[in-house]
Amino acid sequence: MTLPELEKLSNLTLKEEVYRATLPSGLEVSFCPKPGFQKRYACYSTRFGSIDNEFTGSGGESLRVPDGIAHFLEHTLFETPRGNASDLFALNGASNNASTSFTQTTYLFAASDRFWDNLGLLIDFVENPCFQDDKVEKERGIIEQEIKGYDDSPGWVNYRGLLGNLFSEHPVRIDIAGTVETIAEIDTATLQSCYDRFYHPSNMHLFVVGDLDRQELFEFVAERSRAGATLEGELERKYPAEPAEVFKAEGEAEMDVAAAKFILGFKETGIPLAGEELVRRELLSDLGLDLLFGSSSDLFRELYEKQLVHDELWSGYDTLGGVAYAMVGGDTSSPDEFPGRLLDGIESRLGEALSRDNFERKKRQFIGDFVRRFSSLEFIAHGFTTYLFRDFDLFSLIDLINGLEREMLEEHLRSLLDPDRHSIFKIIPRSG
Amino acid sequence: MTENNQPALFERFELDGSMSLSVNSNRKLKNIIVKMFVLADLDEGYTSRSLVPMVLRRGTTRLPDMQALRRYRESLYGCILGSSTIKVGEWHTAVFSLDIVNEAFLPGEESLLEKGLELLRELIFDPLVEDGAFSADYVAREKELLATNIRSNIDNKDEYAVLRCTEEMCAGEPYRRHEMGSLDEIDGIEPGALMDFYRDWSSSAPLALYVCGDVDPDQVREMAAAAFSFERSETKSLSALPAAVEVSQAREVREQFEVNQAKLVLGFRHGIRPGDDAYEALLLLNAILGGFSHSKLFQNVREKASLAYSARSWVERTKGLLYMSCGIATENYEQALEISLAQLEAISEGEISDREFDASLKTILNQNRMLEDNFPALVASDFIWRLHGGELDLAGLRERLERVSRDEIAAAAATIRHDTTYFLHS
Repeated sequence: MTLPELEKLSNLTLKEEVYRATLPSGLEVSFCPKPGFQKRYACYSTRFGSIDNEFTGSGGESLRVPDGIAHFLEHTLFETPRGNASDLFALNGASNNASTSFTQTTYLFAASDRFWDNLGLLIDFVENPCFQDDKVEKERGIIEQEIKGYDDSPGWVNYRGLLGNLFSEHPVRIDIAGTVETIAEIDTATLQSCYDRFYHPSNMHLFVVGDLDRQELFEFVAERSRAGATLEGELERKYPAEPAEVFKAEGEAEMDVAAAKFILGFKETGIPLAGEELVRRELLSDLGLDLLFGSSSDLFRELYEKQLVHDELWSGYDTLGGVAYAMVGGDTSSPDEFPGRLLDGIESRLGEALSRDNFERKKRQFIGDFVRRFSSLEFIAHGFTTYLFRDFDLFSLIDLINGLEREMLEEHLRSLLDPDRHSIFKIIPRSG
Repeated sequence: MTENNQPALFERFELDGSMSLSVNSNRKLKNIIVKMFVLADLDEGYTSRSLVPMVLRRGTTRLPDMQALRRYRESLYGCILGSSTIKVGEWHTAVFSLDIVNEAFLPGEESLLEKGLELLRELIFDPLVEDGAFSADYVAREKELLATNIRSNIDNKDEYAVLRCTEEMCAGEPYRRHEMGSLDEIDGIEPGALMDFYRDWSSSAPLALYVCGDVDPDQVREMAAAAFSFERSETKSLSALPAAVEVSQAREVREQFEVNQAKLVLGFRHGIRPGDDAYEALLLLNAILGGFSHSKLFQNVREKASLAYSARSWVERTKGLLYMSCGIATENYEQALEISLAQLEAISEGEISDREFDASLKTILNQNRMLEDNFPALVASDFIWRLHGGELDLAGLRERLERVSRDEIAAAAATIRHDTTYFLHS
C-alpha cells in the first residue's frame, strides 16, 4: 500500500527523532523510536475535553451537551461487543488507562510484548463505539462514586473553588466529570453526537513510542484505522464571552484538613488558542512564577522566615479555550493574613526576583528539566500530543527556552499578576 | 551473567566495608539517578529518624539554608535532591536521592555527576552545625512541619483508612509505627539530642548506594569512593525478619467522619516473603484477586455490583500482609464486605477462570519486563530483595511465575488469614 510521506523531526542535543504522517482519513500519526526499551507505549487522543460543551455537530447543527459528557464518553467507550476493553488489554498482558482533561481525551496502553495485538485493540475500541442503554446506566453509578470521591479531596475542592471564583461564564469553571445532576441527562444519543464530531480522524492524534520498526508501524495503522465519515461544515467550538473581571474575589470551604490550604489565582482573557506565541507565553509565565514564588526566591524566604508558609509554595499557569489563569498555593497557619502578604510581596519583590543572575540560573533549571523528561516514554507521547494540539512541536521548546530574554519577563508578569484580577480560595480546617 | 544467562541488572561493588554500590549502566536515561539508603530498625527512635532527613535538607556547612541549596541546584541544571524515610517491613530506612541530567546532553558541560555526588554527600553527612547541635531554628520549624504532615494524613481518606487499619491490625507490633513518626513524641525532641541520634545512626548504619544511567561503572565506583570516603564506626546489623503472627478471629473497627464516600479496608496476614517457595503464587493470587481491572474485586465490586469506583488489593511483602480496599456508600457496607471476602474464598477453593489466570500471568510478566525501564522502581525492588538476602532477578522471577499452578495459588490463598476490618464512614 502507498503510505503518505513521513516527515522527520529531530533534535541533535537530545539525540531524539520523531516521524509523523497524516493518513488520507485525516488522522495524524507520530512515532518516536526508542531502541533498547522494553516498554512500548501508545496514546490515542482527541481534541475533546470538558470545556467543549457547545459546538457544531457532524450535520452542521448547533449542539449544547450536558456537562461532564467528554469524561462520560471516555468511560463508555471501553464497552465493546467483545467485552470491556480493559479486560481485553489484560488478556494481552498490557496495562491501559484513559483520561479526560479540560481540552483533551486520551486512551493509552503500555506493553512489552504482543504490541501489535494491543495497538489493534486500542485503534478498534476507540474507533468503533457501541453505546448501549444498560451500559450507560451502569457507568452512571460508577461515575457518581468517582465524583463523590473528588468531593472529599481537599486539593481538588480548592482548585475547583478557585476556578469557579475566577470565571463566571467560561466552562473551565465546571468540574471535568460534571455533577451528579448533569450526568443524569446523558444518554446514548448525546454520546453519539459528541462522538461523531470529536472522534472524527481529522480531530485525533495517535502517538507511538518504543523499540519498533517505523515502516511496519505506519503500515499497520494505515491498514487498521478507519476512514472518517463525511462531516458537514467545520467543527466550531463556542465559548461564552468571559468578562475580564473575576467573578468572586474570595471563597472558602471547611474540610477535615490538618492545615489550611489556599490558592491565589489571576485571570486572563483573550488568549490565543494555539501557536508559538501561546507556548512562549506559557514558558514565560512558568519561569516568572517560579522566580517569584519558588524556594530560591527572596519572597519565599521572607514568608518562610515569618512562619507564614509551612513548607513550599507551588505555582502553575494554564491556558485553554481562550482564557488562562496563574496560580500560587500552599499550606499556611495564617489563612487570613497570608494571601494579602503574598499580594504585597509580588509588588515589592518583582524587580529583584528578575535579576540577571536569578534569570540565568532559572533558565538552566528549565533546560535541565526539559532534557530529563526525555527519559520518560510517557512524557514524550503526552508532551508531543499536547503541543501538537497547539500547533507546536515539542522539540522546539528547547530553542524557545534558550531564546527567552529577561526583558520580556517583567512586563509579562506585571500584566499577568494584575492585583485587580485576582481571587483567593481557601480550605479551612473544620471546627469542632 | 545469572543462571539464566541474562546480564545482571546491577554491577556490585563494596566500598570501605560498610557501603555497597550497585550500578545499572544503560543507554535509556538522559539523566543519572542516584539513591542512598541509610538503614535502621523500626524501633523507638522512629520519630527522630523521620525528622533527621527533614532537618538535613534545610542546609549544609557550605550551603547553609534552603535558598542557597536551591540556587546551587538550579545552577546544576535543576538537579533534584530528595530525602525521605520509608518503612520496609519492620525496618526503617532513610532514602536520599539525586537526579541530575547527564552532561552528554548539555553541550560544553563537564563534571556534573561529581558535583552532584558531592552535593549528595554534603546533604547526608555534612549538615549545618551550630554549637555542636543542629540549628535550633531548623529543628523547631521541621518539628512543626512534621507534626502538620502527620496530622495531614487525614486529608486523604483512602490512605488514612489504610493507615488506621494497619495501626489496629498490628497494635502490639513494631509495624504499627508510621514511617513519619508519632505526634506525641515530636515535642520532646531537642536539637542536641537529635544531633547525637543522627551521629550515632549515620556513622554505624549499613549504607546502600545505587546509580543508574549512561555511566561507566568503574568511573562511578571511583567517584563514589572519593565522595564518600570518611571514617565510620563499626556497622550495626539489622534485626531479623518479623515472626509470623497467629490470628484467632477477625476484628472490626469503625470510625465516623464527615465524608461523602465511606472507605472499607480489610487487612490480612500471609507471611510469604520474597525468596519463599510460595512467593510467586502470592503475586499471581493478588493479580487474580485485586491487582488490576480484570481482577475479581474490580469485576465484582465495581463492574457487577456498581458499588465503587475503585476496588483493589495489594501485597506488603516484608511484614507479610495483604490489603483489600474500596470506596463505597455507607449503606453498602455489608454487601461490599461480603463480596470482597467471597473473592478470596473463591480463589482458595480453586475458582480461577482461564481468563483470570491468563490475564494475571500475562500482566505480571509484562510488568516484570517493563520494570527494566523504570529505574526508581528497579532500585526499590532490588533494595528489598537484598534485605531478604537475595537480589532482583527479573528473568528468574519470570521463569518461576510461569511454572506456578492453580493449585499452588489456591493453596497460598488458603493460608491467608483475615485479621482486621476497618470501616471509615459518614
